[in-house]
Amino acid sequence: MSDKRQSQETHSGSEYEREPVPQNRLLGFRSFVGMYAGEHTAGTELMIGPLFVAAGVSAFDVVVGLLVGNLLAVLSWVFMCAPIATRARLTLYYQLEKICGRKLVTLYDLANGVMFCFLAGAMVTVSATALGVWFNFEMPALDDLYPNSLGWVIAVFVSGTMIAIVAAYGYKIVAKVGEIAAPWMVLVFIAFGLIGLRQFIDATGTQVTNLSDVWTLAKTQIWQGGPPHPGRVKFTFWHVMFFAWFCNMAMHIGMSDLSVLRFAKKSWYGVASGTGMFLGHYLAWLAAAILYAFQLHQDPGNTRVLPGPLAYRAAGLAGLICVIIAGWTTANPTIYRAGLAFQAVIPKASRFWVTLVTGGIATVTGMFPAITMRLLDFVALYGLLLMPMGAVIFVDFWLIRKFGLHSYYAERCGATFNWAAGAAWLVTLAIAWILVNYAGLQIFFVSLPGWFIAATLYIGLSMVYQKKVRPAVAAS
Amino acid sequence: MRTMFIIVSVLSLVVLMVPSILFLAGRMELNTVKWVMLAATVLWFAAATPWLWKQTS
Repeated sequence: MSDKRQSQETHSGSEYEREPVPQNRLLGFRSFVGMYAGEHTAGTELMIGPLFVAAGVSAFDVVVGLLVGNLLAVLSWVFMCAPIATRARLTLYYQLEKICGRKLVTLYDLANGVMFCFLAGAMVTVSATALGVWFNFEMPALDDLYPNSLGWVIAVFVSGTMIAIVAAYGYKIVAKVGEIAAPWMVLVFIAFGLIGLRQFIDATGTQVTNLSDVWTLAKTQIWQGGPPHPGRVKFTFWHVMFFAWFCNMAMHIGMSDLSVLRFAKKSWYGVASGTGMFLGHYLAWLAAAILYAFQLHQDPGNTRVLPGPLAYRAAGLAGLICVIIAGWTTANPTIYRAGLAFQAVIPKASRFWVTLVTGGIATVTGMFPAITMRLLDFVALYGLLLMPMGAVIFVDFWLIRKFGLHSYYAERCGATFNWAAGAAWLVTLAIAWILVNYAGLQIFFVSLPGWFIAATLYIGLSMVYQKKVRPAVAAS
Repeated sequence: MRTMFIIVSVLSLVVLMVPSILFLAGRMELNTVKWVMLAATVLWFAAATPWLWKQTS
């Protein structure tokens, strides 16, 4: 769900920020396979799987829902993001700037930076749960909103400060550690699942001789499909499918990965995202869910979702190291990128201090378990918030000329704020908010109609905007 | 030297996975699994870092 990529997605310090990537700098398929596998096997995967269990999901719904949802996510990369990336070969930000103008991109940066901050906070929280195993302090419960012990606050402070300092100095070393750790981490996640499965078999006395027995165990013990924990939304097949599809919506349909896939030789390289989806968002989620379900089986009153203790019980120190590295290596670039996004808003501020302050905000956020324990809702919100701009880019690239309008209109007329794009974004979010709060549509489902609303609004508003705002000098 | 590091790294990943498979099959104790996984972890980082450090960008 999170990202380890470097600053090619940022405004400064990266290559080909304001020009298409040249042919001789394109990368092969393998580069993307490794990147996606590592990027989507993050510390937060250890939260998401258990939160599905807490949402009372059934075995069929989670196994098939994830299969379909992840497949749709891969198809979104292949058919929505990659074709534009490999044709325009521009960063997301430069492409947005051409469409929306500098000021609107700054607003987008701000939204992106805030969401990155919260996401990094969740990753810091995950890392801090590993410290809890060593120092044995009180850790947050599933429904806690506020920090519940001094030990917890200190642990998050220490983890977050270390991560922030490293990010401020430039996180390249951590990024390298993350890349080196990726194959090992994926296997440790799989080992979690295998170990948890055996623990279930032993604890329930189930006789397992074939796959059908495993399926029966999954249905009756692991994902029982009962009522959700109090205060949680009951997850069905549709919840799981849409969650899996849209949890990285900012990256595929939201077009954030234009910045990455612009280096791909062919648009079909988008299928490389399948490694991340089916290793990180399938196997890792299922494995983490098995560990949490086993914890509930042993003590139904212990509903805490704490990756550190879960991993330690299953795989000992190796599991604990996995939690720390998974949290650290994903929190670092997230803080770094949040800092760069904020720096674009305040260009005169030094990157070092902006990143450090951003890390500080993420650390304080991480002390409050509300976001981490509500990660499913937060991730859905994250995708929703940035999705309308993806719809704007899609329409601007493929459709707008069919309506007799111009693409890249801000660049064409020298505007710094394309109101058609800005209004399409904000009105879509307002409609989504109304649908969620007054029409009873859950946040997991609102992004799909939201995309069509944003696309339609952008076309309609551009018809008005492009009539009113004319280029000073006619473009060729 | 590089080839040796690559071979050891790949082997360490095999050693990392085998204990959990054996545990699933009921042929290894959990404590042993944990220690072998820790050893494989140390081995992986020791052997993979020298060649992957240069390869990663």
